[in-house]
Amino acid sequence: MPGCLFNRRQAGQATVEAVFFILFFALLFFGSVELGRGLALKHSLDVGVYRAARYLSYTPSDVATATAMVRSEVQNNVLGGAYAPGVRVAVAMPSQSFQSAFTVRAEVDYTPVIPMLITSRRTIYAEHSQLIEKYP
Amino acid sequence: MRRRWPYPRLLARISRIRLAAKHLAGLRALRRGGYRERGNTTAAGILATLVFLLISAGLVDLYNVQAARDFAYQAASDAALRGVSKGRDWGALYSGGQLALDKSVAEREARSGLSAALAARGITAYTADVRVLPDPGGGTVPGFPPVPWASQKGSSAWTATEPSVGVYVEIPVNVTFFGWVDGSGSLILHAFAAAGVAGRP
Repeated sequence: MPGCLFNRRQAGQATVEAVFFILFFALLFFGSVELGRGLALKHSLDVGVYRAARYLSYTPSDVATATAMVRSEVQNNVLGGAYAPGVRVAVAMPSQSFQSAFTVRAEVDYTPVIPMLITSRRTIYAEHSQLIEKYP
Repeated sequence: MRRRWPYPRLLARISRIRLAAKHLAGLRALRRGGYRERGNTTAAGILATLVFLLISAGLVDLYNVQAARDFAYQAASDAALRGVSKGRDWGALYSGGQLALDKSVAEREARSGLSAALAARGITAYTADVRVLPDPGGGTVPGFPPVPWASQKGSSAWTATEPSVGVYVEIPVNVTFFGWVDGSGSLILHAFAAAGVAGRP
């Protein structure tokens, strides 16, 4: 019978159903994008810390330039360098004598931005240990 | 007199009746406001979700493999640098005036640097091969690294023109999507890095 509960017009039905799936797809899509951003950040930190460690192995006292190298690498990261000012660099160098070991560690707080989801802040870090090559 | 077989005519009549019934059902559905569509998008959505899940799993795997690959190359590179730095043969330099490497020290230091870096990441099941070219003029190690793509150059013979240390490492990486495909659950990554030592003129 026209107008009864089970015989109503169903125009728009597909749209409503599609909306539910679009919400789910959006989560997956933005999750993948944010994962990519996090990885790009991690990669740029890795490269920056490696370059900074190589620089410090020949110029052990110039920590400021090494820190700037790490920030510059994060700044030029292909998926956005907005995190560069927040990069924290720590150099553990007990001695500046030839062939003594030191460690450079950089970390940055990263919060993935995913619609409809509250994500926790994570700390991404990179660390490299090298030896002083400056002689004497 | 031979009678004709009646069934073809009967079948034709039945199919005409069926067509008419279908037509009437269609008319009734149209009068109600169209065919029922409830659930169509749900079915399509479930299929699309499965496809999207597979794509997402593939992406996560790719990211994971890329991160592990970066780490493997940098661990190998740090180890090679440590090997050439600690493995310098000062006796050869003082006596002959040329830089060379102490083969056993360079290899030991490279291995210890590599194992420390991998242990810091929780990797204990790995394969490593460290080769040292101790002479001042370097040399060539054929068939090393053992897989051509590990050096990112497509060749499988390592040549250096100075005293050098080459570090090859294989590490397992856990994967999700590829695990579904081949059932193994992990891939083996191959990385190679070398470092040399040279005197400043």
